[in-house]
Amino acid sequence: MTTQESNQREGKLRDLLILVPYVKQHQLNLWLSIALMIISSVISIALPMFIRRAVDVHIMGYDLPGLLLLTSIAFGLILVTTSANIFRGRLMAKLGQNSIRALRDDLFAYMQRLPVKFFDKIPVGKLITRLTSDVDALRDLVGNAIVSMVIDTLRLTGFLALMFWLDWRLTLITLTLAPILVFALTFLTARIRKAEDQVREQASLVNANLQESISGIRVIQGFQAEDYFHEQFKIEDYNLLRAGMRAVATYAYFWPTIDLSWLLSTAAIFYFGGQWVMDGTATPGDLVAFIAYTGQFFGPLRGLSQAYRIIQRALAGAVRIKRIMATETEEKANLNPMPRITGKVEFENITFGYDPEEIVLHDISFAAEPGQTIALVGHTGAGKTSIINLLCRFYNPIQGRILVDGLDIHEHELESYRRQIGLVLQEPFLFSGTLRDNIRFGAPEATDEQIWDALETVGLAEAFTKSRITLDTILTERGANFSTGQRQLISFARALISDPRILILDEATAHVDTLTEQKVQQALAKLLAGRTSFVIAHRLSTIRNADLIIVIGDGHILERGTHEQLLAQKGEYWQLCSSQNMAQIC
Amino acid sequence: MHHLWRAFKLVKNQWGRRILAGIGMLGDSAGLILIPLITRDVFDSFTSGQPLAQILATLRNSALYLIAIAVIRGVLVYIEIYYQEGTGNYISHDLRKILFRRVLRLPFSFFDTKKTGDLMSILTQDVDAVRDGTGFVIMLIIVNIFTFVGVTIAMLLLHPLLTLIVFATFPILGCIAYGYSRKIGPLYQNLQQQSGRLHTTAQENISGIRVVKAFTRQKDEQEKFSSENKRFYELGLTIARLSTFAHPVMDLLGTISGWVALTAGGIFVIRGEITFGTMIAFTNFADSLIWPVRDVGWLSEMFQRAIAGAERVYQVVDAKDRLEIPDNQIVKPIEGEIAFNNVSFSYANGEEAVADFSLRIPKGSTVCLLGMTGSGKTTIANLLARFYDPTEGSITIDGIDIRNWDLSCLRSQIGFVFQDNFLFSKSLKDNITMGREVDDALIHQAVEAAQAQRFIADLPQGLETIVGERGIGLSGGERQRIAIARAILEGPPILVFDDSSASLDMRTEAFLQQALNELYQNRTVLIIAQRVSTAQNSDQIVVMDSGTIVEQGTHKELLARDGVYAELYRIQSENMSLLVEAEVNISDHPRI
Repeated sequence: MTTQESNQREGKLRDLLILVPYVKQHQLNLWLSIALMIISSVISIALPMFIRRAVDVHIMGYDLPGLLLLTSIAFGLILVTTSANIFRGRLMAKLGQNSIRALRDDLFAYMQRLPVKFFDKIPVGKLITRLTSDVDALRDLVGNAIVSMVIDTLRLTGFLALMFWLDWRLTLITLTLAPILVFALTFLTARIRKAEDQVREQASLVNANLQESISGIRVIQGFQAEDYFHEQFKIEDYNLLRAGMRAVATYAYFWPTIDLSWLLSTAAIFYFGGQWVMDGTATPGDLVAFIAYTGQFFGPLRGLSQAYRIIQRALAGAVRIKRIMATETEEKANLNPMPRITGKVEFENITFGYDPEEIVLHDISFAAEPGQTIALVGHTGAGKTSIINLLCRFYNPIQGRILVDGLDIHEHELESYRRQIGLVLQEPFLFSGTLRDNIRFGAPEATDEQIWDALETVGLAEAFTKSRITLDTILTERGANFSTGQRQLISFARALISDPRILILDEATAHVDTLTEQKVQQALAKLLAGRTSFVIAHRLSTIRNADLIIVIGDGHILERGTHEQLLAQKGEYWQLCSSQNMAQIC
Repeated sequence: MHHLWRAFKLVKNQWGRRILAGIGMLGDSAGLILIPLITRDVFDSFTSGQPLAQILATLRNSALYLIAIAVIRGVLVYIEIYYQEGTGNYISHDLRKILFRRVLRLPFSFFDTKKTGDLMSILTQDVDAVRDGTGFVIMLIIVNIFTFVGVTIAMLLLHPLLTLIVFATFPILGCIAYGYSRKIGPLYQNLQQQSGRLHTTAQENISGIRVVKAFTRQKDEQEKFSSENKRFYELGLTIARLSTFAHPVMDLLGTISGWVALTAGGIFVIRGEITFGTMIAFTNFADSLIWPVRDVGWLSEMFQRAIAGAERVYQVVDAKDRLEIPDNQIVKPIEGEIAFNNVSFSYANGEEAVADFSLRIPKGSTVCLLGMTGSGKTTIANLLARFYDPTEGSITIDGIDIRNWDLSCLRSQIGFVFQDNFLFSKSLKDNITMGREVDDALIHQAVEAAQAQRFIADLPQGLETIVGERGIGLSGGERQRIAIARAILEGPPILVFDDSSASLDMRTEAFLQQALNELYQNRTVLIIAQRVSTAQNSDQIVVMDSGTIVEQGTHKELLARDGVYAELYRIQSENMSLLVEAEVNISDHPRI
């Protein structure tokens, strides 16, 4: 969330049109609010005129009943403004919150339908920013900035118009001091913002440093590096202090400057206005009204400059959201559902690259019979995971077809196909929530009994009962309250419960320690039984029993066959095996 | 309150700054009292019936006074803000330093009971609350008190009855402002939390998008997000309802108090009790009192938060060191003989991790601990380095209880390879040296011994390459090799190796294993093993379960015993058997 994205002018006003359908639903609120705004603005513009009249006519004229009547009317008007403001505030809050909630929901729903390819290109943090700060920027626009623009413009022009009408000479004199206000609101504000950005940036560095030091505290204490880390922290923290002091030094100019402009204009009104009162061309009430107006000038000006910033941010957010909403979704419309899969899988001359310029799989063909286990073997980067990505339809091949039971997977409805696939990854990706919800992830209707059976099968049931872990135990973020091995086994249970026809294990046993692995091996046997399975593994023990081992190198199939056949060939596979053999026997 | 005062005293020898800030605050308030009085003179001169020249002089003087006040008060307010907020910044800076220093030295038991997130929120949010509390909050409170008292006195001197009338709305305004802040503060905190939940939900979904898609969970995920979003919306709406009511009402009361001053003042003018100018001054005074009254709410809220924050901060600063440090600590080179004597250990939550554990490790030998996750292996390593002290029993090194060894002397002679191979967002070199001052030759030696030289050479900046969150990502195997280089850098007599080599690919592992065997020469080595193959060369193998030793002996002895270890060995070498059949040559190891 700390990703500071440039707020520079991105996008045009028409990008804000994405808001129209959301706001339109509540347009009655909008029109009512605008009407209420006009009422309260007119009253607030008129009130100083009431003061003027009270001073000049009633007080100077010793007219008590008139004064009381005028005050009653003013009180009435103030009450009207207050009710109008309360009512308007509610309407706009509803409008802003409702439309933005709908937008956020829609954006998230849309993201769910985007292809995996899309998620590869944009870092997670940025996508989250789209859903959070960018949407919030639009809420500020809808809820605050629109209102403030209307009210503040109305009030500013109203004030100016009335001031000119009252006394154009005084108006011109006070306006000569306007540059000071403008200076404070543009130049100073920009510098303050910049200084504050630097503070934020430095603070996030300090926080990252803190966070990391706490996570790595064992290493720090183990290596007696406390002083070293403290020294380094002190440098960063000192930079934060300096940035903070710079911000304070800039910020401290702001209010004195605003006060200065107000006091100078008051002095001018007294000096010149006072003379005009004496020669009869102005009244004391004029001066009182003038001071009231100049005092209120600052508010709307500040409101407008803030609204300008909100619009800038909203524009940038709108463009980025629009860009996401314009990305093509992964699902083609109107495809037939995939019937229940028996499990024959064929790759026909598949060529594929994440970037069309850079091919990672060259003309790959192979076939797996129903119920077979296929092991994919090769060095990191050989193309094993790409094959699996294609099989899951996370990506589309550049050339060639993938057939399941003789049906092209790209010509069938995605969901009905993926429902029949089970995936276990090296990183298990558990979600915060109960253990139950995590396990029945792919089969929401599973009963507790089935879940315990699955836990039993993967060998977790006993350990969980012993440490009093129930299905209602909450997993913290990413399941951090379980050990790595346990997390992996939970993801096995998750795959087991969803009862897939095709099972894919991508380095799924890498984090399981060898002692736990014997349990996993038994679980694996049950998991693999009766399904077509694809396995990527570093461990020979996992690969050995496969019906077909495919050795991949640089995007080509180098060898294929069973363990015995391939060993007899004394080729690439044999070499891979001997290196592991060395490791385990020597 | 006491803790906040402690924080406030952190910044010493700053009396000059404080006096300046105080003068600034006085000037700030004085201006607010003087301006209405000048205004009064101006308006009184209109009705005074004095000669024109004298009135014009009054006008000119008043204008000049205002300009002088504008300039002087501007400077004073600048000084006030700069020094007072500056004080807050200095205090938070010092607090962070003290806190971090303390956190770095806290015993592990502290981290077991406190989550990283909680600790972070003390180090950031609570420190910030103290900064604000000791900075602008105090400043505003003082200025507001000065202003309120000063203005009230001025008003009372001018006309006590009118003063009381003008004050009529203030209690109501104050109560509303206070009540509003009390209510809205917690609501905003809830909103923040909910925003965090929304963030987490999105983050989990996006990072696990493959799993979501593979299990066709998009619709359920949408619902999950949508319900978090709804809660966020509802909170937002509750806050909006409250604030869109409270703010207009407070505005109303403010405006009314001005009008009360005008009307009541007008009545007194008509009655001839006060001058026209005094009435105008009263409306100005009323205006300048509105904000001090309105501020009561949020300032007290902020101050409360600072007090609570300071309390949490000092809880960490004052946290007790659980390790006993007796006098006359021993500092000398370690030979490497280790003994665990009936050691038991329970974590703070009462969970017993090690029970009556005894083990003798002769100097220069290699011991391998085997066991399931949670069997207590890692705890043994933690106890050896005094990350915890045993609940019962003792551990000796070279016959001396480790509690008598100087802590840094002890730890600096034990090289650790931790299971998670944690690397910091620093250069590889910094990660290896961890601030120890060694020459480059030693670093290269360690890197080479850890088999890391090849992949480091391939990196663009070699050893200077930044890794971790703010740098490039390394594979598990690469990280482990850096962790090994870090551990052996200064050639420690004791090496503790929490092995997680599961993440290595086969070829690298073979090389590494050879390198490790060399490293184990002439050191006392404690290996926490994940695989039997690592164990079988050790001088002693210890199989653990539930914190106790199940089996103990050499590879041969344990095989002969035909217990747990033999069973494990059977399973793991069975995996090999087919291969061995194909490779008839390698057959001098026992096949079972």
